[in-house]
Amino acid sequence: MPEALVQSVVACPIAKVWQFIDQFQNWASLMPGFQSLQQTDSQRSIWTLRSDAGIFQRLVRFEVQTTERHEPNRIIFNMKAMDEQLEGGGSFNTRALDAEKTEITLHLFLEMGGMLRPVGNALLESMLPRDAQTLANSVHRALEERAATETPS
Amino acid sequence: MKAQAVFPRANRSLSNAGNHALFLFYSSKWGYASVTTTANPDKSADIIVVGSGGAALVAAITAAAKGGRVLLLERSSKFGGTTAYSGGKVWIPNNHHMQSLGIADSIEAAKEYILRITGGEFPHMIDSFLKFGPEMVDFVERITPLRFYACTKFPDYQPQFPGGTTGGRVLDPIPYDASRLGSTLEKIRRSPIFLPFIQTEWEQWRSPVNFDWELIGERVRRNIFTTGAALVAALVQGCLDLGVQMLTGSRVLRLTQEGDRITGVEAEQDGGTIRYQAHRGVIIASGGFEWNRELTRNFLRGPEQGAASPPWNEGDGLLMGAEVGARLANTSEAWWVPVVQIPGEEADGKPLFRTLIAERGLPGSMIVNQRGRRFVNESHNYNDISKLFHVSDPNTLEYPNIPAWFIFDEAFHKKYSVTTIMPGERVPSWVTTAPSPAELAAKLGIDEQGLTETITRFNANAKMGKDPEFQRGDSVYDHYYGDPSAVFNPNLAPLEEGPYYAIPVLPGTMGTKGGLLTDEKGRVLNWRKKVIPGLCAAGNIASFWAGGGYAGPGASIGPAMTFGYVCSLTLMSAEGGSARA
Repeated sequence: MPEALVQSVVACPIAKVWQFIDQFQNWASLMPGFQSLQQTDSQRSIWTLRSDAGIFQRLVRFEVQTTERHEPNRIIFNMKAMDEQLEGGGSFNTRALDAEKTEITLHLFLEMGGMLRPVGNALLESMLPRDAQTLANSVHRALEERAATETPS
Repeated sequence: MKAQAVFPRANRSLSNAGNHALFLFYSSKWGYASVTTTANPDKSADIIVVGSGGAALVAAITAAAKGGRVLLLERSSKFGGTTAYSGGKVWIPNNHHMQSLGIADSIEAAKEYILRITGGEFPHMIDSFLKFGPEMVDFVERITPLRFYACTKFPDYQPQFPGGTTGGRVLDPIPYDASRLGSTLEKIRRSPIFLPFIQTEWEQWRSPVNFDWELIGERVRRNIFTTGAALVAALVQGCLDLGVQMLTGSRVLRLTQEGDRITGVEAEQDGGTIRYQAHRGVIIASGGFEWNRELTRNFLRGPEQGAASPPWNEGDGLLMGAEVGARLANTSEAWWVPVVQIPGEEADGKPLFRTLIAERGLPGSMIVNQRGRRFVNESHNYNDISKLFHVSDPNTLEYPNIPAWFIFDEAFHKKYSVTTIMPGERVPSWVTTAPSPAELAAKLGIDEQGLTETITRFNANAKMGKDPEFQRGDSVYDHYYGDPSAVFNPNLAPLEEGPYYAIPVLPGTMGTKGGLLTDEKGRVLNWRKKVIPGLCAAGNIASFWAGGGYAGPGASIGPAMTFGYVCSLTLMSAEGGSARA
């Protein structure tokens, strides 16, 4: 199954990291290809992403649901496309390195089903690591910007 | 967009210092002088090629092989043009592949066929194509990594006409390992439509149910290209091997002149304007004008509502040629094709229009208009059936066949694919669905009685294997895209299993084919039909002598590549582009 794992260290306390990643609205827009998010309830939302992979260059709507929350260390979610045979998910795992630094591990996985599976998965194999890195970098940047604005003068 | 240079192959193994030294060498070779002559150009070459599709790439390769310093300028960020979006077939009568297979053909037979298809207005162009086409194929296969095989079962589009054939003239690129291009790979435009399999594989598999998906997935994974992308990748490799300098992000907008002679181009690049001097001439191969709404409205014979080509084809070449007095011809015509737009799909930042080619010939389907009536043999070649979209009703001054609807039933859906909808898989919400033809018509807003009567009549005839209205399923060409295992006729089956489905079909193009009038040597002519010295054109920007006709699969790319070859032979000859017609 196509997947990607990105690990990074952010200069931000683990509590702040958790506050950020616990709410989809904070980081969904940082997903590559993000178009819109519609919150259905506290655990579920519908994300519209633009896929830019080979012969699949179109808008894809995903139903995203949190399946596990373990404050402050882990949040797991799944993603299921509403009009395509595309299913996957991901997680953020966090570990406090010290009072001000947190290690974040982002895991993303996505798999195409149906007849186009070998083609779709071949494209996802090259796309997911790139997109996961982009998302991780954006989350990292957003957290550090938040930390900078919240620092007392 | 920042211009990016792709340097010839020799640079790749060098260190930065070595590359810099070679850059200086090539700079001096190509005359990157800051001040020269009265025109004060920034850079110069023997031949400047505008564009990077099949015609442009062959032109560049030919000129370089003849010893010319060649500069190729591509407007967008990637090479390939319309060719990269295409199926990559190349139609060349009397080619050496079909000869080696013992398939009979001749210049005389091909000429007779082409004259019938095109109306015969430019016989001298046909002669030039038939003479140089096979020579061009031999040349590119000798000089570049591009290799073809002949599609022995792929017929001409009107094989029943005298001189038509049922296979052999169509050449398909052999799968090409594009990873050989190294970092240049990311600069090759790929088709947003075609999967990486070749024509003979499709002929064997037919339905996606039988496709070797693991093979296709492996080709995606390893960047093994087929179709137009293979053609482009192999030709780009050829360009690099021969020392062609290639720039992306360089949009040529104007030709420069001294007297009546074309001396170079002006390009928009890196936020400014750069002049390039061409010592021997300029070859415009920048594609058609199908994405320029003003030009298509003014010139085309009828509505064009979707182009299956890159959105950069806005007629740059047409405008710059017209500015220097080039005569225009055949501008009412295009490579017509029915297209489908899947909502939300895009390619290169613009709506993607998918061609409806193989689906139309499969049994259990039809195309109807707003009145619920069929209006054509749906299995016929896409160019000639698309002309029916342009039929205007004199009572209403409307086009009753726009939009049309591709209708199929559940039996069809279980067995065949339609665009990206795979057999038996979930039908997406953008497809209109209903349990009966009447309910389908109501949802579509078309005449319910019309559609119901059409389907009833069609079904009765289909069960006898006949279509007395439009002769669907009677011809060799029709059968090529049909289902050989179908019970009544490869192209006919009743639509009687619900639910019923409908997809809107629009009049589209794969590119316009009118533009700058050229002679048999590829030289652009002015309105007095005199040669404009130093200017040649090939591909969709050159007025296609095919008129409204489409001879066979690849009958756009085959002549385009041939005249790219001819243009460079002309400009690199001792006579060059200076003689008058």
